[in-house]
Amino acid sequence: MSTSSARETASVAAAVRERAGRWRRGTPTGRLVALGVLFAIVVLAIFAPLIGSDPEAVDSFGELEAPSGAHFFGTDQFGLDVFSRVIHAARIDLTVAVLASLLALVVGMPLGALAAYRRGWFDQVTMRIAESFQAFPALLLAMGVAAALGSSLRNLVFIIAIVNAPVYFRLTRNAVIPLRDSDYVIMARAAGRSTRQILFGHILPNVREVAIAQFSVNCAWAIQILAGLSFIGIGVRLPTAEWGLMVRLGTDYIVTGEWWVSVFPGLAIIVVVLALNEIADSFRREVSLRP
Amino acid sequence: MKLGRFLLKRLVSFAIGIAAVVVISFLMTRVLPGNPVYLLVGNQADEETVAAATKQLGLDKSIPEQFGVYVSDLVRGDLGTSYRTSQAVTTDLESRWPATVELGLAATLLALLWSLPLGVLAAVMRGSVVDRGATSFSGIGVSLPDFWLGIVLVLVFYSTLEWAPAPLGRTAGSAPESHTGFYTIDAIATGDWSALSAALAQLVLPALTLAIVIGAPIMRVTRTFMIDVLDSQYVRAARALGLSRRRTVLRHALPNALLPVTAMMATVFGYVMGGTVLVEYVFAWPGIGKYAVDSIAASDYAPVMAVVLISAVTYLLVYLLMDVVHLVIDPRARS
Amino acid sequence: MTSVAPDPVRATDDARDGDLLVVDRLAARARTRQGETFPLQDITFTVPRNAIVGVVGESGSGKSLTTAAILGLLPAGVALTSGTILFEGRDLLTLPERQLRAIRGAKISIVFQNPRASLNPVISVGKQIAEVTRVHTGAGKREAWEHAVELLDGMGIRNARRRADDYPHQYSGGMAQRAALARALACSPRLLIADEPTTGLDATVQEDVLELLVTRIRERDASLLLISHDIGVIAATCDEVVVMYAGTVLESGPAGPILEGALSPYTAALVACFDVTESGRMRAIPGSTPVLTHAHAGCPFASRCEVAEPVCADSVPALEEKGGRRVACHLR
Repeated sequence: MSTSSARETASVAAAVRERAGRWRRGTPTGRLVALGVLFAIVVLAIFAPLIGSDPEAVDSFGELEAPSGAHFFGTDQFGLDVFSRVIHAARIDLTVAVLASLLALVVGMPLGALAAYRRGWFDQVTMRIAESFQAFPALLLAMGVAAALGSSLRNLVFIIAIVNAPVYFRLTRNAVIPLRDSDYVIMARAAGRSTRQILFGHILPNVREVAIAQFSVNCAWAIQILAGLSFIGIGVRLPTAEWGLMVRLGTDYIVTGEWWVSVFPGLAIIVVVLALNEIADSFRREVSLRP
Repeated sequence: MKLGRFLLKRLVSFAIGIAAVVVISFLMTRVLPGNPVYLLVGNQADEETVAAATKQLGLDKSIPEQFGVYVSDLVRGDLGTSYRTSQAVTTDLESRWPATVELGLAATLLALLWSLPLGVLAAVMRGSVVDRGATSFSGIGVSLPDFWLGIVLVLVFYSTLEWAPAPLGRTAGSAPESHTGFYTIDAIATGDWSALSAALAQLVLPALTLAIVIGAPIMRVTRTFMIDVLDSQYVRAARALGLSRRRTVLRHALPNALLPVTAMMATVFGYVMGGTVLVEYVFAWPGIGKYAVDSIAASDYAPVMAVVLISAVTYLLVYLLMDVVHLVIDPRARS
Repeated sequence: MTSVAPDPVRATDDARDGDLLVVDRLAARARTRQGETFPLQDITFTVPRNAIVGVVGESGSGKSLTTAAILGLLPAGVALTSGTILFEGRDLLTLPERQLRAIRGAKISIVFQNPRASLNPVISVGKQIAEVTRVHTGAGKREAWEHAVELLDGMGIRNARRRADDYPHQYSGGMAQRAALARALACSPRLLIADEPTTGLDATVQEDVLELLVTRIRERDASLLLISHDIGVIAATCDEVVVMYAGTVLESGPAGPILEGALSPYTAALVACFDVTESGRMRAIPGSTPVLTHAHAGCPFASRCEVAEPVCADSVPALEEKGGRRVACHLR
């Protein structure tokens, strides 16, 4: 490498480091830690096949072994390595959660913004529909739809999205209502901009932080619902690894002392949900501190 | 707006809500893709049963007609038949609802008992160790899966410490004489103290599980409301006029902070209903939640749909009730 | 606006023994997320007995923080670094909380901007007034209630007895301020602080409330510390005026002479803002108030002053007796 290009590379690297440093200083600690934790889990999930043993390899001789060097989290009643299953389960839980929340967002947000912007009967009707969906406790609604649709993985994404969409709808609607009467919007309308342009150009960007916070919360929610459904037996099925399902498998062994089968998957849920909630809280705090 | 007109408006709103919820339930059972017949006869039924059921269920009729049948059935109190118990769902529910209500009430009471005072305290002592501890605890509380917490509590208090009884449902032995269906009340009413202590012992862990999970969001919300109120101008004015901290917190801040909390009660009710499903299952508590779970596991869908519909309807009822209560206690709402 | 101010009371340099309130060299430091600020740097003024003193200044000048300091209710993160506040000869800053509580509401009282926000929305107005009476005088419920009704009536609220049972949201803005005033005067304080009492009220109501304020103060032989950003209000009511800027006092003394012939360029600029020019437009002072992240190195107004000289930025002008008032300016 010639000296000039080496210098260029060095200065680019320095610029990147400077930018990263500024980002780190500007981001609250809680959010950093939470993002770090999530990042670690995502990495574990992605590289799960390389890190853990086969999550579906039954081992009749190694059933219900306590945590040890060979099996960090012990084994369950089928001899399956719990640690490996926990990190493999991360793939399912995280993917379903993100997809479901994205779907809910894509459906709920524009509708919410439109309803707030348009007002009138459209607003009233969609509000009513969203409120009615929210009258059902989340898990029960999910159970009902799961019963109706069947619980393939694709359907589960769809189910959880249905449960989450009304939340986005109301959130966006509430965030947009104060914006729709702002000076900018009035001027834009006078200038002849279409509803679409106003919505996407000005209103939606302003609800960004709120949407990020809600997305995080919804992912947390999605994981809890998925785990709950799997725990009952109508979510993910054996032999796939999923945290709620794993807790279910270990339930009978709690009273006989083999606690690790249920406890570790539950801890995984807690850690991920905590991280997601902390991210959401940090964004909400930021919004509320704004003048 | 005068009281009468407000109530009328609210009742209309309620009626519309009920209608919407019924429509959604209907849609879940009839119109969604996947043969709706299977919802009622289960996935394992053979061709003849399916054909007969299709006819019997009137699924050969048009959708609006089916809806009409659905609604008229509901009005008559017919929620379908349970494939598993071979009884009318209504009958099944009748014997199970007291268990759920007993658990729900105990859980709500416990939840409020710990979350409200702690939320207030955390707000009053903002930034202190108490506040940070309480906030962390509630932060973990909202992240706990209720079914897992139940299992862990069984692990700790039954398997390890042997303080609590086995998670075998409502009774480890004799149930008290049945009057109301609520074991605790019946036991007190008949003076059956051993049954009372047995019933309470069985109630402790499931109620505690729910109380922790439900109390956590309540604590956070209470804390937030209280902080807002403590920062308000009227509280500052009261202090500026010589009222002691204690007086301003108790007589000025608290009533204002608790007002929105009562508005939250409907939401809390929703949490409780959702929570009982899994908690009942973990503790083998013979209530409506366990009924729904057992049914869905056996592909017996009529009970599931019934429970889903009922949960929404009762939520709307509680919501209406809470609005009325709010009207009574908040002077601002009355004008 | 009609003036209800009598002949101006002569202000002298030294604090007289009879002065009700003497604030001397008050300074404060605040810790915020962004770092440290010094919102009060050198606040000095006096409130004589039976006088109406106006405090005028832009937002951020330290007006509200000064009142908080007087009452001993500084917000979290703010601490006084030096100075004294003498009330009837006693230094309030040395008193324990218990004694301060006895003074608040009873000897020194306050009304705020936005009166409906100052009243508890879920307690009836009468009860809130009665509460203050009971806490300070130990009067019984009945007695205190009757007193509250009397006060409301005295403030010009018709049907006072019925109105006492109403809640703050049922009062109009002007009425609520009258009720707040009733509560503040319930125990006949010697000093009433009024922090922007008419800002936010309807223009028609402002005059009435102001007049009521001044009348009630005078008849009780009390003093009023009136804080406002509106020079018109100050001009119409005050015997003396204190001009604050960026945490310091730039001019103080008899209201008439100061407002008609200001010595401090800042005061002159402030007064000029309220004069409409020939073209019919209001003037504004160019620039913005300084951010108070460090102690002033020179005159805080130097950067915006039309007649500033190099010396103005170099050293902080002291508040000195000149021309029948006190002024802090190198050039006067």
